[in-house]
Amino acid sequence: MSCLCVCAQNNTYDGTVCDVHGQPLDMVSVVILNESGSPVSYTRTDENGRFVLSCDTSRHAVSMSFSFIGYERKIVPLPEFRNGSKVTLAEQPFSLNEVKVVSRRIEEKKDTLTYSVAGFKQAQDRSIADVLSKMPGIEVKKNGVIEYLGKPINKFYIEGLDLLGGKYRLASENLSADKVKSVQVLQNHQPVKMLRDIKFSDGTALNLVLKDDAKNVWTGVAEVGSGAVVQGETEWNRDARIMLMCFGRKMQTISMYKTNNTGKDIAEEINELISEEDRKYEMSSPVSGVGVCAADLKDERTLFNDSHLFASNWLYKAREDVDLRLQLNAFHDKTGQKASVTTSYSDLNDETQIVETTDANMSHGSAQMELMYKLNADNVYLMNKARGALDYAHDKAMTVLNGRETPQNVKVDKRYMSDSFSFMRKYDNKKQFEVKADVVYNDMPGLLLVSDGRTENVDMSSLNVDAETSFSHTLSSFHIYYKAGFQGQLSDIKASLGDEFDDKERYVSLRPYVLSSAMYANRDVKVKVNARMSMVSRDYDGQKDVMLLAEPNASFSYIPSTFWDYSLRYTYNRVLSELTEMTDIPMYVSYITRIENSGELLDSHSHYAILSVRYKNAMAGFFANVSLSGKLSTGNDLYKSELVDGVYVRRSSHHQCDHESYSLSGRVSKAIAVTKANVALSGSYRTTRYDLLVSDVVNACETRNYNVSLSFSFRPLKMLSFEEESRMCVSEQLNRACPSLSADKMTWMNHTLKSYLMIGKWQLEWVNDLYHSRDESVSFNYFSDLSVCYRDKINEWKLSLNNILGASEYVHRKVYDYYRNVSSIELRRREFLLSYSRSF
Amino acid sequence: MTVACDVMAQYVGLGDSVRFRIGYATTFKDEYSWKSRCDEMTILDIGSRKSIFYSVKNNRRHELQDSILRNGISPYAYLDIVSQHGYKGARISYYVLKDYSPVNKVTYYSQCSSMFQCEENMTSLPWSFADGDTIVCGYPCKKATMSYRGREWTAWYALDIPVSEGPWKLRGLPGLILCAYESEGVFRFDCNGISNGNGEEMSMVNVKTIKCTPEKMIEMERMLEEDPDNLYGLIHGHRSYSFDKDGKPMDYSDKKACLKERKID
Repeated sequence: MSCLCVCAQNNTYDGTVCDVHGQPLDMVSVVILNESGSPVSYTRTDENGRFVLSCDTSRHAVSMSFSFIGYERKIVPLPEFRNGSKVTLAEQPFSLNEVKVVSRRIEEKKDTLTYSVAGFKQAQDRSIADVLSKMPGIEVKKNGVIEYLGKPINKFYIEGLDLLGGKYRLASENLSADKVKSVQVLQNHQPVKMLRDIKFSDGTALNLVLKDDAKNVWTGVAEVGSGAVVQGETEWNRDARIMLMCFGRKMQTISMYKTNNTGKDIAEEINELISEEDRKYEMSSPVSGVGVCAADLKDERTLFNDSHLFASNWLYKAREDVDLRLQLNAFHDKTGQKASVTTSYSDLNDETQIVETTDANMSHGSAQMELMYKLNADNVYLMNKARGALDYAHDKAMTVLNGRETPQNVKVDKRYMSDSFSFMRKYDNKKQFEVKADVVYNDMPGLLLVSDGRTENVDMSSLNVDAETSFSHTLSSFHIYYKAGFQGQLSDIKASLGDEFDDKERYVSLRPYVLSSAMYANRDVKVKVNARMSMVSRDYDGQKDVMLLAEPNASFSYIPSTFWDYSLRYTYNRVLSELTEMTDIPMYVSYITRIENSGELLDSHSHYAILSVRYKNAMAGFFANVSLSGKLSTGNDLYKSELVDGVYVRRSSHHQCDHESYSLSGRVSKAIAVTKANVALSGSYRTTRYDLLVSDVVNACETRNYNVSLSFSFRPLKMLSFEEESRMCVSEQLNRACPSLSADKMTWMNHTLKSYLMIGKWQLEWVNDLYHSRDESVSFNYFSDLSVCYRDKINEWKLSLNNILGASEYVHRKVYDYYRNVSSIELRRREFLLSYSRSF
Repeated sequence: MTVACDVMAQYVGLGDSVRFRIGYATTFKDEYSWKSRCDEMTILDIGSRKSIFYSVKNNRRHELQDSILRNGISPYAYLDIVSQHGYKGARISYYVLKDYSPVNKVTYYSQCSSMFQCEENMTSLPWSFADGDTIVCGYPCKKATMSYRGREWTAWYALDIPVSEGPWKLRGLPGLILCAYESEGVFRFDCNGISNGNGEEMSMVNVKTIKCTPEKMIEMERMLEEDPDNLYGLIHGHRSYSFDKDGKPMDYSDKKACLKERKID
């Protein structure tokens, strides 16, 4: 017999417990309770049903409780209890209120967080991206980039295999959430196996774990939709997709064809979203296209597109550690746009505005191929990746420019080819040898019709070669790394404009370098410092220079527990200007904008530091991150601007200035199991300080942007759920030297509320989207979309009606570093679409 | 890497039937250098006179082992199958059998290379009632604390379930313990499922065990993390030699075992 109590001055109680037949009951729980029903003393009866129980008189004991499984509980007030009493318990069937085993929605095991898809998926969620956006700590940006605690992921795996590289939006937007069992977040992920105890990584990877019935089978979906615009002129809409997938242990593929003219921008699905997978040394044209960007609105509201996308991705595991991957992607789109833009320039000390009303047709396309072989074993890593791409952009428009009809025509084609090779070998005692080489060729012919009717031809090409070799070894607790390499660049530009100029320039840069790095890691702290010394020899249009550069950088991270993560990084770079930033050929970059650079060899100094703090509590479903960063860039070219015959001309003043930018951003997200709710609050503040030359006087300027957003989703009832997102954006531009040239502060807000009603297999979705502002920085626009669908396991019928109220125009004001504009964009009108989809 | 498995495991009935089955999410570390804790699903089967606490994964692994090895498949193929089914990662390899009146013993089984068994009398645990109320799995719970074998434990128990039981060796409160954790934040049990038993026989894996004292058991669990090669030598008469994937001898000098019981009072 045991007795549980704290005894000072005690009362002692004793008695016997038996059943209605007088048989003694052993193991009966005898508890003395206080006024609030809490136990103050406890014992159990022995094999003879007897108990003895003491209790401190100061404990305010008021009653004695007798309970036993299978018998009715009895409570006796203490004043009524007599020592030596026989307490009788009547039989009563006992059954526990059952609680179904629910595994945690987020489980943590060492560096892996596993999110259960079933724990976060709501009935309205279709793709895995819809569910990812409801997982705390994970954010899916508008461009498809997936971030974990504020940092973009460095790998996206499906069942442990890297099928898509950086084009993971193909999977996140198209893979049904019903096929995914869980999402794993792999923290401190080092993709190269042989580097796993050598080179620590602070990257994070995502791995989709599929359900058993989605593995080793060919599955797919075929979808077709047809509808029409029912406001103004009737136009036919279409939306179709066919997709095939297979995820096996040795082979994976996702192949699809999509086409639509309903405004959805499907080209973004083949964008590279991981920086290491970006096309290295890709050139960008200095010539800009015709379209006006309305980034605040969903594409489906503003794009008048006609798009076709083909993507086929294959990964074959020739052996356990060997991947062979082929990616073929092609895209073609014709988009129309009608917009009016009024532009004024912050660095011109006059009130002149450029007013443009444009009716544009833009045709863009791309064909890409990538073939990769990778051996990723414990002691050796071998990778070769060959890529090729053909892009084209042909924009035509008729613009009424300050009252005068002016045609626009821009053609920019791009040919890109590259090959990357990497070989690493690990030896005893963590010694490692590495060889890497990259060759990249770009060719970009372009054509631009300028406002006075002349045609400018701009042809650019570049050849980049990178080669490096490195060796590393361990010394005590440090890992030391030595690298020697060479970077070479050859760039050409040829530009002609009627009789005005026909020039060509060449830029050659040769850069041999050595780099030394030391890394230290223990359980809590990781420190890395390195310095690159290089001798840069440059030749631009007959000008030559040779520079000896030293570029240090350092990073420090401290992870004291499973909850907190602190990191600090500093980088210094000498940024060598590209040919397009140096050329003094007075090229047009749009039909009314002309830039003439210094024509001198330029470089700038860049200092960058970032401090971030991250907190995660997987058990509580609470994640937070905050980061503070600063960038200082010195030696930037300062431009002088003027309007000449309606053309905005920027010329290098041959003076330098500094750019500073600072930003503070943070996000907090919490999952609440009850009602499957998820709340996220994020905010950012960014300030950029720079100089503008206004009437030959240097004006110190500053642009500030503040953003706050709140999003939540919850399901108060099984058949009803809501998703809400609100954001507020504030921007202002200050001219400290000449405050009258400052732009007014602009504040606008957007609220989106999505409501879902699910009754059996029917689902009703109602989207309300509101844009408003107190200072007319955006026009007041309210959009309402309604859809109803019937869905069973393999079929789905859906009828959607978009922009029910027929909003037709969106106006917004924007501030940039040296200009500001007011744009009015035509919106897609009221339209409906009836679609059918079948999974197989 | 040392490999040891008990061949041809079978199940033995414990002479009681399952009245209630309680699921717990057990969170733990085996060794202090782990940055994060592990989660594993565990079950407490409660009968009329006995209870048994075990890991679902570990138990299922033994079941697979039982059925596969009986068919003559090699232990290496068995390990591959276990890995494919996701049971490879079972880290809780202990069982706790509580036998109430008239036996009044707590038997602890732990796989330290071989299966060891230590038995103790079922003495009362030094719980103190504390102020506090909460709800776990829909049941109102009261709070109790105790200092037990080097750790400070907090438990939340449900008076509406008058069973003096709990996960692992925890017991002795007026109601079923639904949540328990210790002050260092390493070990934690959270109830995540409650069901009425269907009267099935209560059983546990039948393996050859080696009896030892509770003090010896603690020492072996410590050695399992801090010096497994010598532990193997003590058990089997010849020490093992472990190597990492680079072929270097394993260095355990910075390993420190996380033990639920640091000493015997």
